[in-house]
Amino acid sequence: METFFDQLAIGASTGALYALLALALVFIFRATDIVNFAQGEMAMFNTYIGWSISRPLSFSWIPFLSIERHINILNWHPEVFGIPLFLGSESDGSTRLGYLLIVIGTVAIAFVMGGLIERLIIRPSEGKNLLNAVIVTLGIFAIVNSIANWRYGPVPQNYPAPFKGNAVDFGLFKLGQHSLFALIVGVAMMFAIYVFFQRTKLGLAVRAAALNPQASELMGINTGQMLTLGWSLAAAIGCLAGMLVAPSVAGISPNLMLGVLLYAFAAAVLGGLDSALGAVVGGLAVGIGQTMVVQYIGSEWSDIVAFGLIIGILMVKPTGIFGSPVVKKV
Amino acid sequence: MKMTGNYRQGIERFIPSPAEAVVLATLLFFTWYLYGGTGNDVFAGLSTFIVVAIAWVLGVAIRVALNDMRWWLLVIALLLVMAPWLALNTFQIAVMTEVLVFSLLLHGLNVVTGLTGQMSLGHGALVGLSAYAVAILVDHWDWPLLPAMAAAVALTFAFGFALGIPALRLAGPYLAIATVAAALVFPLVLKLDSVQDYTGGVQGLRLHKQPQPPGFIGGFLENESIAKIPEQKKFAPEEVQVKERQKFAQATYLYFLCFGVAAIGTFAAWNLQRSRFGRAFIAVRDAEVAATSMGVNTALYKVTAFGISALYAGIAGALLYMVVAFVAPESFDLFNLSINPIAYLVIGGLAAPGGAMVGAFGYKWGPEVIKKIARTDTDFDKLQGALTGLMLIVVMTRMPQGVWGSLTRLNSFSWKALINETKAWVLSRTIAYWLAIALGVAVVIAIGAWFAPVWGVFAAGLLVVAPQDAWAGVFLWLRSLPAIGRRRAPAPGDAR
Amino acid sequence: MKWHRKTWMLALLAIIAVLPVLGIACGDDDDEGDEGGTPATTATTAATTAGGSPTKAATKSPADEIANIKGDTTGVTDKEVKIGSYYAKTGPAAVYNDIQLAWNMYFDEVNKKGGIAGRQIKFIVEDDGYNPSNTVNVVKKLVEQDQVFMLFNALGTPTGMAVLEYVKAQGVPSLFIASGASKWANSGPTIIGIQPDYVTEGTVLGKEMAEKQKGKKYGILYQNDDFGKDGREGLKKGVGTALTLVGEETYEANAADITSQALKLINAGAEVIATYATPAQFAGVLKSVKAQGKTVTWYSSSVTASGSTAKLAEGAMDGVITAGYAPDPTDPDPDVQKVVKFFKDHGVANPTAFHIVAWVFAEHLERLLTVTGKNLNRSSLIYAMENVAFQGDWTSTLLYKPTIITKDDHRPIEAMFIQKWNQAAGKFDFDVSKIIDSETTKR
Repeated sequence: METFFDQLAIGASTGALYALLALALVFIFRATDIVNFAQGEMAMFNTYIGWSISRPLSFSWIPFLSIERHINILNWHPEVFGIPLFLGSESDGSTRLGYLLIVIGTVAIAFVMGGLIERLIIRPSEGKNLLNAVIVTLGIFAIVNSIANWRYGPVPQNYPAPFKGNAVDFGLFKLGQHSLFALIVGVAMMFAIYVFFQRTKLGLAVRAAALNPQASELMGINTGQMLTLGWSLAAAIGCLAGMLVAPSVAGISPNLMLGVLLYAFAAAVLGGLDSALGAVVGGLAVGIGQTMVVQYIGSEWSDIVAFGLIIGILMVKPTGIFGSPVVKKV
Repeated sequence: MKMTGNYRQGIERFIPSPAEAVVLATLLFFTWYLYGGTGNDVFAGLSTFIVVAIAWVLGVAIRVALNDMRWWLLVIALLLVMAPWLALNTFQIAVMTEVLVFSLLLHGLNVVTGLTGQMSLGHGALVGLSAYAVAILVDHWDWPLLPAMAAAVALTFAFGFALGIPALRLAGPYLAIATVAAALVFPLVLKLDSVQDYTGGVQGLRLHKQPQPPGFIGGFLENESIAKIPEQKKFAPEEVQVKERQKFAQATYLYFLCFGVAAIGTFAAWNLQRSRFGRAFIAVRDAEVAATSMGVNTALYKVTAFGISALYAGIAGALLYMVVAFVAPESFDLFNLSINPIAYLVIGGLAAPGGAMVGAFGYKWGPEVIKKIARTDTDFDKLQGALTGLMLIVVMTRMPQGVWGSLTRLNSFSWKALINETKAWVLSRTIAYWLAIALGVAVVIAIGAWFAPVWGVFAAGLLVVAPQDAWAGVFLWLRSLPAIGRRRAPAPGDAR
Repeated sequence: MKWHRKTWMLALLAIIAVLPVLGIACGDDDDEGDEGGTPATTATTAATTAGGSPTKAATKSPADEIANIKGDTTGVTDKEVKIGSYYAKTGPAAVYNDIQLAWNMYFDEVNKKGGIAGRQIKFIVEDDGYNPSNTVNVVKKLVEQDQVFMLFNALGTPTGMAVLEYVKAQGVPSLFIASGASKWANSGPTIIGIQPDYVTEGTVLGKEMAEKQKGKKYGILYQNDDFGKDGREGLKKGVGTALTLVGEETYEANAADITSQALKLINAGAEVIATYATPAQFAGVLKSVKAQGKTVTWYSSSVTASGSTAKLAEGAMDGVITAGYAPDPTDPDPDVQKVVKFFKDHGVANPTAFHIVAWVFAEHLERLLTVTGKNLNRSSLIYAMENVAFQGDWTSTLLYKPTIITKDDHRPIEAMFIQKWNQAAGKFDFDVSKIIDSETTKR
């Protein structure tokens, strides 16, 4: 039984990572009605931006401010649960931004970047064949991956994480602190997305713009803005996912999301592409399914059985477990 | 698609039309690329000039003689026949061979995606299935190559039909991901310990004997190859020269084998689209419910589409194994054979056999040309992927119906309309808009000096937005300029 | 004059008839050969198949013999030699691209000093994305279009397998292939690997386990490709019956997390886990197994034996035992530090183990080309490699034992050692005197 629970815990912590990216996929599907192949790579690139602002500060890049001399902010280190909020001192004496600042900064950059991508690249291909938009996201995939490769190099780098200590013991099993954190963030995000789409006016407008642009234009919704917002928020969610994936797979590299994106897609489709709950359930199911196959069938079968099961479930429920059925109209 | 009609009179007949100009410019660039490889500019320039001049003279001749705009199809067909002679070395012949093989795969994808409107990202598995079937039959059971290829194609065809049945239940992104799953699982199955004896496991399987040209053809081709012997080997002993000639004969023979199959395949695809089946496929794509109520058996047509598509993929897979002479699980990674082909199909142009040909050409030669451009300095080398992505985006935003679709639309081109449209486009935006653009550029330059990736993002944006049609004189797409600064007003026929 | 339709058709037919002639004429156009001088040797007369045995001359030593061997001089001029290679510049295998960049830096420096035997070394490195189908094209391009003299340090096993037959048939030497497949050692005179093959390495690691961990239970965790499967084979061979095998688990190269496989082994009672994994996944599994509070002794392949893996593992690598054949940049040895400094001077912020091995590979090529000297052709190159350059009197500055290559021994680097990562000191602990030279023990 110990074996079972050990594998369950490991599966859940990998599944949480799939679920996080799957949530971003679900979000963009609901908000813009397209499947975004570049979601993983956008997340990876934003995660890299988080990495570059998390390196020791030298302030040499703001020559006219010269913060070190004038502002004595570096000695102020407020902490919450032991996580430095704004600035942290490292053991090697360097000063870094605190985790919270890194997250806020990175998510803000991701938000802007998502919007820019929608405005500059997605917009011109909108309103045409749906496939065109998908091919455009493939183009973004290639561009972002290659820029990251060129700018940051292919070698994995360490990534900051808020909780790094030993696993939390739940009696039956142990769960790593970081995995627990990722799970909590995932579930919280799921609720946030649910509330956003179902309980807020803005979410309703975003959904309407995606489902029926003409009618929403007539109702006074600025569909263009809604689409931009959808991409921005999806990029921000993806970026959070990336920041949680990077520490758990031993560092960030341009291929960070390669091993996660396909499973995240599988998870999103399994749960239903338009359901946030489905994304989380699907992610956990895929993660736990894989570890169970490893334990009880054999590790070389893990992906074969996992993907086979997904195809099988889709045969029974063609729009995923929690997805709403597609209505065909003339 | 009709391109007939008396188009010009008098001296104007000799001036290329925009469509012709695009074809000629492509030819010019491509020939320069081919012959530029020798490092001899005079030679490259001369050859380029000769090839383009021939194409032009031929084109005008056919156009005036037949009074038909389809002259460039003939020219392209002729150039394809002559490709082994125009190519400088067997490498270029081999790539052209693969272009033909991939055109078959794209025709197959076109039936499923272009005509029937189902998105399959799993065709790599079908290609792999066929290639591996040939490999195992030849390697394990010592079958001769041709029967093995026929058996493999039949197997893939049957498998495709079987695959079509579960695909019936799925639609849109769900089908796409399910097919991705199939493509992902395929190489993993090959690596299982239990089947390793047949599939060769991670080591892959090799074809030890590619088909050799039979006696008289081989002799003819070897004679034809005298000009192909590389400079350095011109004075080499006879046996080296003989080896070089055999190499050419072999490559050319493979090329024409594939050429024959591809010609039949293209012809069949062309006819299929205009047949009862083709119209039924399109009906299933555009109005499934309406088609059903009109008595079209949509399920049957969907499954048939999958079957035909698998047939093409199977032929492509068998030929690919014959040409490449090696298969390994790594050959069938998701992007190489499943996702990229569909991207290039859409770039070439959906629902048109010509689009599949253009797509195959771009799929094999695009990366080669990009490599050549990117090789200017070492650091830029890593941005090859970005250039490829940029190409995808530029084509998709500027030519929503693919290269082929845009080419066929170019015939209604008029310079006057172009000038008027450009004027209207510039004036449709306020001065504030242009100022904002200028400011934005300045800001990007300022930020870029501090944080280099911004340059990449900016360059990407610039190529998509600004010099739209600096390319190849293809000005017509100004009409589809991005809606930046304009409010998005969906048209009634807006497909979503 | 009025041209009727028939006239046009006639003209068209005439042009079509002339076309093939013109086509050949284009190809026939005399071009001046490549930039950079005339072919090194005039008409080649003797055997052109590389590796042919030289004409007998009893009084001359092998070293003098090189000057008399005639052979294929494709890609060689008096001023330049063109050498091809393929690496993955994109995708998961792109980490290895650093090796190629590093040996390019090395030879830039060599070229600045006048090159080797008066020739500049020019590399053409193609990107094949680690996909065997691409490799076939890429190598055809290198051989047919770029007319390279040889291939050097091309990356990968499946990629190399895809072009093996072709490269052999063309007589293009493919030397010092960057892959640990045992296949390269017996693929004819023109093919040779560089690093100890994974089976040999696994055997060395297995024997060490058999000696130190006798009687315990162990498990194997390997990547599902040629690297992992060869390593697994070697490990089992080396361990023999000294330890009990509780399980073999595998994972796909792009897997995000492989903790599940490790936990299965540990829960099955494994006290020792031997891994054939790549650095990122290995570091990840070390971290999460440690976080789970489980203790196990790790043995790992030379691929993970580097300070950068330890950095990724954030302290969890302490006490991990690995095989190795080249030192790590963390090694305080002055020679190693000189190399590290060389790469730092060339703009590499953190030289890794890849830069060290690239240096070693480059030194091998430099040695070979230097020994071959002025009379460089494919036959003399292979002759020099098998008979003169690596006869036990030359050692790479970063290795501990001389490299030996003979006609029957196409395994260049064979000396390996066992090392243990010492987290406190930030370097590997190992005993130079205990180098295992499989040269003496094998066959």
